[in-house]
Amino acid sequence: MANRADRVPFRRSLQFKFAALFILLIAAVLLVLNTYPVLASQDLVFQSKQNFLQNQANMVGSALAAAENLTTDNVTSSLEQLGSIGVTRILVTDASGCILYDSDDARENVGHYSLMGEVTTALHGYDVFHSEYQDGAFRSRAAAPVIYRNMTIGAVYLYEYDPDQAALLAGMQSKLQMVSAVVSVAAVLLSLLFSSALTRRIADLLRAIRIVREGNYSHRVPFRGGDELSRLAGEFNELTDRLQTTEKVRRRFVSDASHELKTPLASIRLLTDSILQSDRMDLDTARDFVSDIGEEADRLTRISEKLLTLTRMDSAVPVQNMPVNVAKTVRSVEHMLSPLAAQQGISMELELDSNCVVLATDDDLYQIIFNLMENAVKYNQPGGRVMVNLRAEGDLVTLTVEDTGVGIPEEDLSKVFDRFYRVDKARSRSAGGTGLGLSIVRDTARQHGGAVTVHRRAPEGTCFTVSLPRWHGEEERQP
Amino acid sequence: MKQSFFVRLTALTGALCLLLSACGGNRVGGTAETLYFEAADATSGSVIRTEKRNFEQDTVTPADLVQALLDGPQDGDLTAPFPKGTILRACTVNPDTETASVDFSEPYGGLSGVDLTIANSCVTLTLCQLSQVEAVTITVDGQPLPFHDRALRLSDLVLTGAEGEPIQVTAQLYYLRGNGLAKEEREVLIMESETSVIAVLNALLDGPKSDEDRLPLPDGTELISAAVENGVCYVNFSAPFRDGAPGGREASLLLYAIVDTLCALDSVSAVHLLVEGESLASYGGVPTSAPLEPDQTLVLP
Repeated sequence: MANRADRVPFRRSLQFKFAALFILLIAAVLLVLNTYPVLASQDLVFQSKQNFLQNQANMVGSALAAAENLTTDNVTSSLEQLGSIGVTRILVTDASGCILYDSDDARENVGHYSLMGEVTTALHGYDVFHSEYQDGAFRSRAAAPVIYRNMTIGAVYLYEYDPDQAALLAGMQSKLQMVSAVVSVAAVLLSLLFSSALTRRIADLLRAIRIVREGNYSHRVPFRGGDELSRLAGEFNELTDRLQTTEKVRRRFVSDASHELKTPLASIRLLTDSILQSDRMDLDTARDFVSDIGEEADRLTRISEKLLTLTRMDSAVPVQNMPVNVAKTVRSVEHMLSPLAAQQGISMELELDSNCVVLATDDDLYQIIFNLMENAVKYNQPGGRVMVNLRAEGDLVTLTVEDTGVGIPEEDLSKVFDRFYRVDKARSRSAGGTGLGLSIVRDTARQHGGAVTVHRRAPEGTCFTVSLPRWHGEEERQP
Repeated sequence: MKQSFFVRLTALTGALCLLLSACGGNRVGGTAETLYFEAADATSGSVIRTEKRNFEQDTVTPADLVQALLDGPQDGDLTAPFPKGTILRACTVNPDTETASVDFSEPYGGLSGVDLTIANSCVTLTLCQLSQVEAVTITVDGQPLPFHDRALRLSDLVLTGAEGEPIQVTAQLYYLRGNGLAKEEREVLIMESETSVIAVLNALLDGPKSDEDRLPLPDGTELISAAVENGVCYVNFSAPFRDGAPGGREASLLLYAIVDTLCALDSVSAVHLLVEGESLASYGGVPTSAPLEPDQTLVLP
């Protein structure tokens, strides 16, 4: 399917990269682990061998320096007195390099001339030491001159063959290699495991994004823990929540809007059909019908205008705000609504604080107040009252519009600001409502940093409260 | 009697060098020979290094070689061990004794100690690659050198410690035969990782070659260690050597088979028997609390 086509090739995958990085790091560590301790121990062994063999060579040299001349006999007896000095081979020469004593008697070297580099260097008056590690043994050689009254009368050459320390070192090395092998296997397995766990979660997220992209907004990514990936999954889920909500609102809006537009159109269609189908319609009836058609057309115009207002607000074109006196706007709205109120016998009671200035546009503020007061008049009982209260409280300007109408059921209170929502559809339409008024109030108030709330009023009616930030003076004007 | 493995190796190498140089000579029309010089800086290995040299003439005389030595090496890492101004006065070969006599001028007499040894060795090694030369005598203005009056041979020179090379020795192993001991001679290779005592003892414990001979070693006996100190060889066996000891005279013969075998080595004059590191009061009626010396009377004629 699409999944297969989208699959990342293993060599380019995150899993491969993570695993390779991890394995490389472990390999570097193991390389150091396998070389440094062995080299350091080898150095230590060399150092201790040097100390030991040079000491022994000097010790033998001073033991032999008792006589003016070295002979096979006096060297042999001196060495017998010294006893074992813990080396594999002792070789002593006179000043000319002629071998006087060789503990390795099987070689039958006594009486021959030594041309060994160690011996000739010692005969020239220098101490010599070198050691090598090869084929499972340390081979160390040291030589020192035998000095009698500032004269080099011979040389001592010592050789040590030590497989024990070498075996220790080899043992350590093989243990390190064993540990390294175990660590390597564990590292490879763990790196594959970790990287697959990590990338599996990324793959989950990727799959979720694809599912949501295809329109399934109810899909959620399961996540545990608190790392960045879990956060990402959480953020993604919230984003999807928002998308789902928005999508739901959009769908309802579209269906509501088309329904709202369909009703007047259906009425117009019905009225025109009636006119066209009746052969003998008198002029008055026809005029009546045409006037009804005109009303329906007006309603369509109003709905379209309000939809345009909302859309304009959604696109949030920045407007130039001015300080507006709210009390003045309330009075002009009251003046505008007074014929309608008088017609229904509704009295309007205003209680206004004239110091309430907010930063907005005159039209927006008028829109808010008009919509609220018009609703209060329209949905009131005949002979009811509308109470408008305006006051400044600290940094806020609060406007309350109360009526003594039928009120809004508790369960509908939270939905009255949704677009096309109506508490009593039949009554609202007969009153010429569009279902968009309160939506516009809420959006406009929000646009100016304010809020609008609604609650039931005791004993009857509804109370809307609009709060807007208060404007204190010239110096705070927005740039 | 015994011959060092190293000496044989040296002889073999020399022969090989000669053969190679002869071949090389035929090919290029001249003769290639090896010259021996002192290494400029040698604290390990041999102080003597070689340099190949091509001679235009078809037959290179000993005098040509010595003169080439006096002229010095071409390789910067080598030095000629001869004093400046040394002149070759004469170089003759006595075909009967196969000895070359080399006479240098006075400056050569200024050499002493190991420097003289190195110079003599370079001359000896260089000349001895010629088929007619086996030994070299060096004089200064006709006078022999103090302390170096005898002729030098290749076998007199020890070039390296050669500890890594195994040594072949002819060991004398004693086994039980009838009511006494019989000698068996066997070539034993002493490896780098063992001493001559251990190599010989292991050869003995391997058992006799002849069906007539026997070694009644108790089952499970193991050699724990063997080391020589001031001529006394301390041989340490595991417990079965004591616990499974054969009865009567067999035990004492077994003991002396070991003692006589080890004492045949130049470095060993007596053997002290230990079992699990402890000295025994006696073994087969022989007191063993002190080192034992060899008893040749037990050996059958």
